[in-house]
Amino acid sequence: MPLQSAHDACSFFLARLDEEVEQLRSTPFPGHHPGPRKWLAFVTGLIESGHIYLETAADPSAAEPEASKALQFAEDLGNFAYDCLKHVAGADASQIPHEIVAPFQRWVDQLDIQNTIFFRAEHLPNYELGVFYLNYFSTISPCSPSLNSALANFGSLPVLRVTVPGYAMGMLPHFAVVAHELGHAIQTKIKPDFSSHKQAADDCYKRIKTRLDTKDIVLNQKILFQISNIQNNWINELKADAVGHCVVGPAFFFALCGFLELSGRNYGVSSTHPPSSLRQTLLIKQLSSENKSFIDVFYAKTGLKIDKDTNGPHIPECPKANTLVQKLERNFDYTYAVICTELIPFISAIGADIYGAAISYLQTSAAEIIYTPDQLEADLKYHLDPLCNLVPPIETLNAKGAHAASLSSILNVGWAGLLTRLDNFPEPAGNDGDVKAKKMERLHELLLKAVELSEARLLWEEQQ
Amino acid sequence: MKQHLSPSRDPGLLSVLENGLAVIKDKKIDGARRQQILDVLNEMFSEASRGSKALSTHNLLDAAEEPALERLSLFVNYLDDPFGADLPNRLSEAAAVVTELRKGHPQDNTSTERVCDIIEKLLAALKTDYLTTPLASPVEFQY
Repeated sequence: MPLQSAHDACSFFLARLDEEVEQLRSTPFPGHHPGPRKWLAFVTGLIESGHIYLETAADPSAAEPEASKALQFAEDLGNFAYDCLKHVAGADASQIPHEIVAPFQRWVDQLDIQNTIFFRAEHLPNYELGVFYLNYFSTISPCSPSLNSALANFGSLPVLRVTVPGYAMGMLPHFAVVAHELGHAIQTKIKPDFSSHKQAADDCYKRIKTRLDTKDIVLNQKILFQISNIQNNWINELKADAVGHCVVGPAFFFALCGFLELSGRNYGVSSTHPPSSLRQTLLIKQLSSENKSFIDVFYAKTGLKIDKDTNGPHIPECPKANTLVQKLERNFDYTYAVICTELIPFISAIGADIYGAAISYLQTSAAEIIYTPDQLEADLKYHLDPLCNLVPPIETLNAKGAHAASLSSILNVGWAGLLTRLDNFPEPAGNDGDVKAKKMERLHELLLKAVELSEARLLWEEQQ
Repeated sequence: MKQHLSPSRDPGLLSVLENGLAVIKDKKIDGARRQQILDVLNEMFSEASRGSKALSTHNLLDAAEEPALERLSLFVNYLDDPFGADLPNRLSEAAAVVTELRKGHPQDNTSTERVCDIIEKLLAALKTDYLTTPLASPVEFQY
């Protein structure tokens, strides 16, 4: 009897999950993007597999232990399917600007990311790349044919999900950070060579060990794993920053600093992220490198000399090591605090190599996506003044004629307008409210319009 | 970058471990399906072992990367207590045994039992994790 009631409850649960998936299927996803629908097909596969285990559990010839085990697995699959539906929340057209998804997908394609990906917004100040490995689902047997076909339709695993902040924090210029998140999707292909930093690595290891020794903490396999994990996470963050820089140029620096300023203003140090000030420093170095640098070009056209504080004046520098360990201990255990503190000099030392490797990888495999100072110069020349007259940056003229502006171009022109030309925008109607905020909202709308129309133009160009 | 599946709640992982036992210990599964399960187990143990070896050099320049680090995290998080310093050896040994099984070379009972011991302890740890996951507590916002 208890088994029967649990069976009935699970059956009802799976039926309701089916219904929920059906409703989501009829939801429009922005840009007719296939990612969410593939994910829903996977959820259907889980639910239908759950039904198979329920049938086994209900088979009168099955022994009770076997029936009980099958029923529990059906419950697990149902729970897992329920959880999976949570992951796709916010991917519908009401949550994420529909104009932006197709241009994001172009970045995905240009970066040769073969994985199934979907985009969603969340009411949180957070950009992230979520990774669903799904490594082992192919071994579930028996399973529904729909689960097998959903897994096959994913192509390369893992499945990826880009999250952007929704509602008030979903500001288009900040979406340049998405290039960083996509950088995480290719981070394993970027292979820096740190062999010239052996001394810095040894010094780092010794400093960690010395600090742990003072508290009689033995550097065992678990701590070595923690060091490796944090180091790997930090290197990956810098790889992703480097990709963001390559894809969007100064717009990434502005967006990252603007986002960190608005959402936190803390050191940014954790097991997953190196200090924010270090990231700013490395980006500024890149923006000022080469004979004709991004900083030179931006200054020549706008009069604004980009520096570390330009769009994140309150992002703090980390204090000296002893103080930092003490401060980090408030949120982490001592070992984590020590590792995070002592990794900083090492990561600073290898930062340039990480950027070099990322640039080199993209030059070889996706050169057309790299945003250059020359392109910034052309974009500001053609679009900045018209933008102040409310003309969205849709197409660009070059020697080959007019062609659609890229998302990177639009974002850079947007940031230039936002940071340096807002006063030149026409006064908004009405006397109420914050005039600057209204102008910024107008700029946001213009950029969205530019993204939508340039994408339409690009589609038209591709069909010619 | 975040990973969204908790191992103890991952039906795919539980399935491959249970099926792995069925293949190696009980020899219940044959043919293509046996091969598929051994392929997945081989990748799991080999990558974890690779990650573990990278750590054992005590050199930051040899740091492990994904997927080795991700596979190793499963074993470090769940099997550090029972195996401790012996974990790298056990992973390396398991990887070698599963590689041979995958090639169709039978292994002696002691070797396969030691692989099964790892899988059983991992399953037990995942089960404990599952059973001891706290229910969601009431939320208070002390703004």
